Order: sequence, then structure tokens, then C-alpha cells
Amino acid sequence: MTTTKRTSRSTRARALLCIPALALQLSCTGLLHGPGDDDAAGGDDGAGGGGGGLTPVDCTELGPPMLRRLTAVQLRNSLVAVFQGDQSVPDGDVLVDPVVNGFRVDATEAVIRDLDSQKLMTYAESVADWAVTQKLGQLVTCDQSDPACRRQFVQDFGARVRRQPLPDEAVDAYAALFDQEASFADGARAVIATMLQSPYFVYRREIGEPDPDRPGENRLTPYELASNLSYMLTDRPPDDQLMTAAREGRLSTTDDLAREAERLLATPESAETLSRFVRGWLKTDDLETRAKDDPTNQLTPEVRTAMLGETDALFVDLVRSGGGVKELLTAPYTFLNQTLAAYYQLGGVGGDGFQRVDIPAGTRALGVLGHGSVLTRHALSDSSSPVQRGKLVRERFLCEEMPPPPPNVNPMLGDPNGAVTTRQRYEQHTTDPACFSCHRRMDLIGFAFEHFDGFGRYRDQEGGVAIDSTGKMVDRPEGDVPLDGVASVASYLADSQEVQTCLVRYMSYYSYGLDGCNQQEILDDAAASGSTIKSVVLGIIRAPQFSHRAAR
Amino acid sequence: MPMINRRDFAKGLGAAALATPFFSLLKKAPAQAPARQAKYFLIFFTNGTDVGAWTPTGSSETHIQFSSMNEPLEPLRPNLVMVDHMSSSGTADNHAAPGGLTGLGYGGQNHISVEQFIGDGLGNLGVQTQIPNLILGGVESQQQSTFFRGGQRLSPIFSPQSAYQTIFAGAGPGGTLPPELVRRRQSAIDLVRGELKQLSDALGTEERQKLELHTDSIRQLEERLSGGGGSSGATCQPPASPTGGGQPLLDSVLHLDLAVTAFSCDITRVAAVQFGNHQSTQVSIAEVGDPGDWHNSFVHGDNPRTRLLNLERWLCEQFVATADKLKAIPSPDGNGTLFDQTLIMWARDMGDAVVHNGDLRFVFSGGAGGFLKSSPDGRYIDAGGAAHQQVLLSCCQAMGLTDFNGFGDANGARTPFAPLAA
Repeated sequence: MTTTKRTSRSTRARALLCIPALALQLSCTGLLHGPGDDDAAGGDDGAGGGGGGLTPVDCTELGPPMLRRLTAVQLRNSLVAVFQGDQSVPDGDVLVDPVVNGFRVDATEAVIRDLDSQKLMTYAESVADWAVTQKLGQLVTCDQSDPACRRQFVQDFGARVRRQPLPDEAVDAYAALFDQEASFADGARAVIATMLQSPYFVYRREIGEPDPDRPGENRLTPYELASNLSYMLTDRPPDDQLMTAAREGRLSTTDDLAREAERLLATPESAETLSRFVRGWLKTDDLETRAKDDPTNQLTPEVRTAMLGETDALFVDLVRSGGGVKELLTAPYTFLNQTLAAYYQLGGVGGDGFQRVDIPAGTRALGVLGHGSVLTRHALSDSSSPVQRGKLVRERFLCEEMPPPPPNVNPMLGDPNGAVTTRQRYEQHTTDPACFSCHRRMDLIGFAFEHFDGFGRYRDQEGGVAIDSTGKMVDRPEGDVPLDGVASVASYLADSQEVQTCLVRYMSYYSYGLDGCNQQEILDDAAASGSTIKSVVLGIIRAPQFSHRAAR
Repeated sequence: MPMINRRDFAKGLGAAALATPFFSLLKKAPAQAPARQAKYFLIFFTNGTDVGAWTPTGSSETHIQFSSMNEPLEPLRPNLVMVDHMSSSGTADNHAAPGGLTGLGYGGQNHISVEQFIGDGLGNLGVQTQIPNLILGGVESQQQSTFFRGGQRLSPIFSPQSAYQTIFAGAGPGGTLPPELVRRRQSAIDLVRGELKQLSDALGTEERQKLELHTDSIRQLEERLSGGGGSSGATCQPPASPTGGGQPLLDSVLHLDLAVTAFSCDITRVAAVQFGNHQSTQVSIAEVGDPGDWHNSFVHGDNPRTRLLNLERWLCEQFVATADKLKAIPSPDGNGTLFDQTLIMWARDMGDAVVHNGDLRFVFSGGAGGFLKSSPDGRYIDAGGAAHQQVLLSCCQAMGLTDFNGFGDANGARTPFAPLAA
């Protein structure tokens, strides 16, 4: 995307931060304070590093030519690909991905600086040592005693590292490096170590060449487009098929790109990338490591992993089967393995693999808001959290900004006399105007989730008191929306155009690594295809911002 | 969006301002290094604290009456200064707020944290070390620190093994690199630098700045290879690569040791180790109690906060152990011990973590060559709400810096905190 007027982006984002609150006459102090707790009433995750929502920016223009540093995952996957699928390539703590908006894809913040070159050098050297010791025979297909073999090695290995053929001058430079060494092994070691430190390896290039059909614009080269597509959809370098398409000129139209995108979306690799998106979007990424004090000890590591797997599977299934946000929020089926089915007390599923299961009436809430991953992550260590669940809805589905609590407010809720249920404790917010001005926007939504405890389990009562899951979504364009239960929240969101727009924004940010654009053309493009999630992905790929850059 | 202006670095700043001291170092004749060998050791703990439990009630400028929370600091008493009640003026009143080390809140521009400013300042004074600024620690899954440079958050090296590799970089006995290795690395650097230039030429100004950072990072490496980093006569034996750790806080203990060794080899004069992160810091340490999350469980979950108290006590023990290691090592120039030459500061991202405020606490030890005013029975200073930026400036002063321009809030307090200095 690259289309943002990026010099003004943050300023604009900051200015817009206040608008909803001011427009609503809220006294949400601390608006400009930056990150704080997800849950002012008991503490949560400190939400730092840009944990909030996205603010729309103007992206009607094409962005400039740019470089995009590989993420840590992409670096790892790229190395495995360079070594022809060998997973035993040494690991290393080399690149660090700043977490922005819940994702690790930010194109602006990811840089190489300070000691990073040293880290990269020592890592590249260790990989080169490994490769020469373990794999030289496989990496070199020619006769090592033949002088031409050195150049051949540089070309073959270099093309995998750079994700495109090397120009002659680069081959010359690396061949010269090779020739400085006495033995073939030492030469190969020097070439490998250097290539893995090369900016042509650690950055993806989006530079392009002048487009004769669009004066003033660069069209990305076929190899750049292949990388763009592949890293965006699979976090991996282009596979052989994509490289062949690039080489043979079959990536020249938006239909070509869409065709390849459809193909990649069907691969297991894309499921990993789509899962990374849904975990970042719903902020469930750290579910496996969050502290949880389940008195029943049922929330095992296996259950947590299965919870994430359920959400991954539903999202991936919907992308592939042509589902949309509506289905994500209201699907009458889900994906369970034995562990999670037992945890949900549904039974009927065996094995570790996930199977599609229709949700029996009167059990789990339908859709992703009823998933254990979402309910357990957006909760406290020992109880549910109406604040966090309401905040999730506001920020991640409606793209509204929720400020952190102001300073010097004790977020520990007291224990009001007679309070038995979580709801009763949180209703304390409603009696304190200083809290309620903001918390009404979150807690009253979160109350609708109260049939699910902090571990994602269904409950009819808490402490002997029947659950009251009524609530409301205040300050909506149509006024206050009455709620009762998760299904009411899901059903309201499922029909909301705002949610569709919000998803486009998050997907667009995830795809481009730049602050989300509310691109009407992507929405329109998607709407023409039934507003499916896949149509949003394809809309992003068809947009000129994907294939073009402003000429420098 | 709740973050500082991520494009600050693109505004009104040339790449030189972003670059490390090497950038300027290479352009000036190295001045005579100051006779003093002062070192700055920042130990940064996230998640504020419970300030009520921290305050050593009954203490004075000539005596510390430790609270239960910081009583394990007892062995350091004669070299300990505890500073209470410093105000962050709204810049460090929430988890991971940027002000603790920069003096600037989210609205500020071009944040630079104190250890970076000191590293730059030393460079400008002609102090040349192989690594101008060593920042370590944090949490692998949450690499968001409160170290800043040019408005961008910096990422510490998380893995102790990677830190080891970076600090010692294949050096053999005496800290020297085999000539063949240097030659190969130089060849690689030459090629990579040419490629960076090639790519840079295809980009616009803003995108080029990304590569400027990369190019500068390469310059650092090259400078190091060429032997430009002074060793001040230090002969040190690179230790074995660290093992153990396995959870963020234990890894950070290993980082403390690595930083001490880097000081002893005079590879750096400025090191910072971050313990934990404001989120997702799982703690599983027997002395602390049941495993849990530092922020969610210890700060906001427990009542009473027994595990937080135990964790703080454990952290005190690490602080003391580190000081002891510094005390056991003669300084590279043979003038006292490393401890005598090092100003150790224990800082945090915020004041009270429970209610979220900027009522900050600091602990100082060591000396930086006699800078720190101590008392045989320990010193406690109630700063009475003085600006915390002042103690950050004191750190600069202790390291021999006199020009504080460019650090912190230009409209805030601009003088060091006088009670700290001898």
C-alpha cells in the first residue's frame, strides 16, 4: 500500500484519535497517553506497541518505490527455501519484528540498524558453515574441479537467495569473491555467507520499472510481483511455479495475479499466513503463554493450542469456501479435535486433527465470538472480562479507538458489598462517572458475553446467581442497540457494513505493512464478489497499490 | 493509534542524527580519550512497582531502613543511593510509556533514551569502543522496549547466545580476530555496501533513510573489524557461550553477566539490560512462588501482592550479584575495580504499576570514578517530586557529558540532580 501520504500519516492518526470521543462528548481522559491496559478493571496486557485500532488515512495515491525487510518468520522460511526445503538449517535470533497493531508486519518499523549487521554476519557465517559441512554435495550440481562450476554455483544459489536471476555484474562480483579462496568449499562458504547478508536477500524489493501504459508510474517487475504475492500469502519466497510464471511473462495482468493468488490460497503454507492474520486481528496470538489460573486445571496447553487451531481452521475454511464476515460471526459449524470437543463438553470427535462439526443448539455460541480462543484470551487470569471483550468488539470489529485508562486510576475493582458475579463487580464502573464515560462503550457489550467464563467455558450461573447476559451497544449510528448474549452481538456485527470496512482495513494493513487504508475500491471490488474474505484478499491484490509505485 | 509518531525519524532529521556514534566518529580525528574509564550500566525493570511497598520508610540521607521489598540490597548499603518520589511529569505513567528513559511522553518527538544519548556523547568525546551501545534482554515474543533512538523503539538482543556471538564475534584469546576471518568479513562488507548503494539509488528520500540505518550498521561492523574499537589495554578472555536461561528473566541474568564481561574487555562503555516486558512476561522462579505473568498476575492479579514482593526481592539479588561481579574484576586500566568505574542505575518504565502513575523510583550504585555521593550506612533521597529527567541528566554528567542538548524535554528541568553527585 504504500499509497498513504506517509509523511503526514501519524500526525493525522493522532488527530483522528480524539474525534469519536469528542464527538460523543466523552470525558475519556488520557486520549493521547498511548498504550495502557486492555482492562482498566483488573489489568491485562498493557497493550503497548500500538495495540489499538487502525485509523483511516488517505491512500488515494500510489506509494513510492520501497524495500520491505523480511520478518523473522519470512527469513526462516526463505532460508529453508534457499536450502531446498531443509528444515535443519540453523536457527538464529537475528531479525526482530516490532509488534504494531497486533501484527508483526510493519514495513516502516522493521529495519536493520546498530548491531543488527553484526548479528546478521555471525548468523550468516554459521549458516554458511553448516551448508558447506552438511550440504555442499547437494548444493553443487556441477563438477567442482571445473572452473566454470564456481560461476554456475553463484548463479544457481544466488537466484534462490535473491528470488530472481542475478544480473551479470552481480555474478562477476560474487565469482570474484569465490576466487579469493583457495578451495571450492571455502569459496562456497564465502559466497553463501555474503549472499545471506545481502540486502537483496533480507529486503523484498518493490521498485519496478516505468509502465508505458501509466505515465509517471512504475510497474513492479514480474519477479517483484511474484515475491510480493508469495510473501503476502504464504510468508515464503515464490515457489517454482510462480518463478516460472514470472520468467515466462505470465504475471503481467491483474487476472494473472488473481490466478496465482487463488492457487496459493489453496496451499497449506497460506493457511499458516491466514492464521497469523486472524490471530493478530483478534489478538489471540499470545494465548498459549498467558497466565491463567484455572482452578479446575482443565485449561491445559493442549486445550489452548486447540482453541487457536479452531479459529485458524474456521477462518481458513471461510477464506477458501467463499465465506465472509457474516459467516465468520454466525457460522453454525466449527472445527474441533478431540481435546477441544471434550473441553467444550460436546464429544463426538476423535483424534488430534480438526473436523468440521455442527454446533448443537443450546451449547456454544455460534461464530468466532463463541470460540474458546477469543473468550479465553480476552479475559483475566481468573475470570471473564466484560471490559476486554467489549474493547475487542470496538477496536477489532468496528475499528474504533479506545483510550487507555488515565493515570492515577486504580484499575483494581473493589469488592462491592454483596457482589457475587463478575457482572456485579464490573457494574461498579457504571456508578462512577469518571469510569463510566468510557467503560459504557465496552462493559455493556462485554456483559453479553457473560455466559462464558474466563476460560471459554459455558456457564448458566456464577456463584449460584443466574447469568444476566443483557447489555447494549451504545453510541451506534442508530442509537443504543440492545443485546442479550453473544449471538446478539454477532448478529448485529454480521450485518454491519462497518465491520466489513474494518476487516478490509486490517487485511490491508496486514498485506501491505503500512497503516490501513479504507480503500473504497477494494470494498467495491469485494462487494461485487459477495463480500467474501477471499474477495477482499483478491481486491487488495488487484488494486494498483499492489502492482504499481509512483515513479521517483 | 496509541504509539508515538513513528515517522518522527523522517522529519527534520538527517540520517546522521539517527546513526550511532560511529557515524560521527569516522569523520573526526579521535580525541584523546578521557583519562577516566567511566561505564554506564542501565538495568531496566518493566512493570513499575508497588511504590508503597518499595519506599524504605524511616530512611535518610545517611541511613537506609530497607523495606521488606528491597532488603536484599543490604550488602550494597555503603554504595547504594535510593531515590524516591521523582515525577515523570506525565511521561512515564503507564506500562511501556516512553518517558522513563527519554523524559518525553507520547506527544514528544525524536525520543532518545539515556543510554543512547550517553553512547553518542562518549563518541563525540572521542571514546571509541567496539560496541558503542549494547542493549540486551526483553521478551522474545514482545520485542518492544523502552529504548529509543530517533523516535523509534529499539529492539534489544533477546537471546543470550546471540548476544554472546555479537559481543565476541569470533574473537579468540585476547579479544583478537584471526586475520583470515577479518579479510573474509571485509570482502563481504565491501560487496554488501555496494549493493546497498545500488538499491538506495532506486529509492526516494524517505525509503533511503531505512538503508542509511543499515549502511551505518555496516560501518559499525567495519570499524570494529579494522580494530578501531579501542581496548584500552584490556586483555580479556572471551567466556564460553552462555547456557541455561530458558525464560526471559533468567536470560536477562545471563545478559547481566555478558554485559559485565563486555565491560571487562572494554568492548563497550554503555550497556543496558531490560528485564521482562510490560506484557507476556511469564515468570517461573521457585523463590518467587507459583508461576505467573508479571503484569497480569503479580501486579494486577494478586492481593496481597506477595509474588510481586518476592519477585522484587529476587531482582534485588540479581542487582547485588552483578555489583559483586563488577567488584571482583580489576578495571581494564588497572585503576580500581570495574565497580568503581561503573555507574549502575536501576530504572523502570513507570512508577506505581498498580494504579498507573509516574511517581518514579531509582536505585544507583557503583561510582563512575567517584561521581556518586555515598554514605557508609546508605543514602536515601526523597526527591519530593523533582523531575526524573534530572537523574537521567546526572547519568550523562557522570559519564563526562556536559552538553545535554537533544536529550529529553527541552522545556523541562535541564540540570542534573545535584544530590546524587559527590
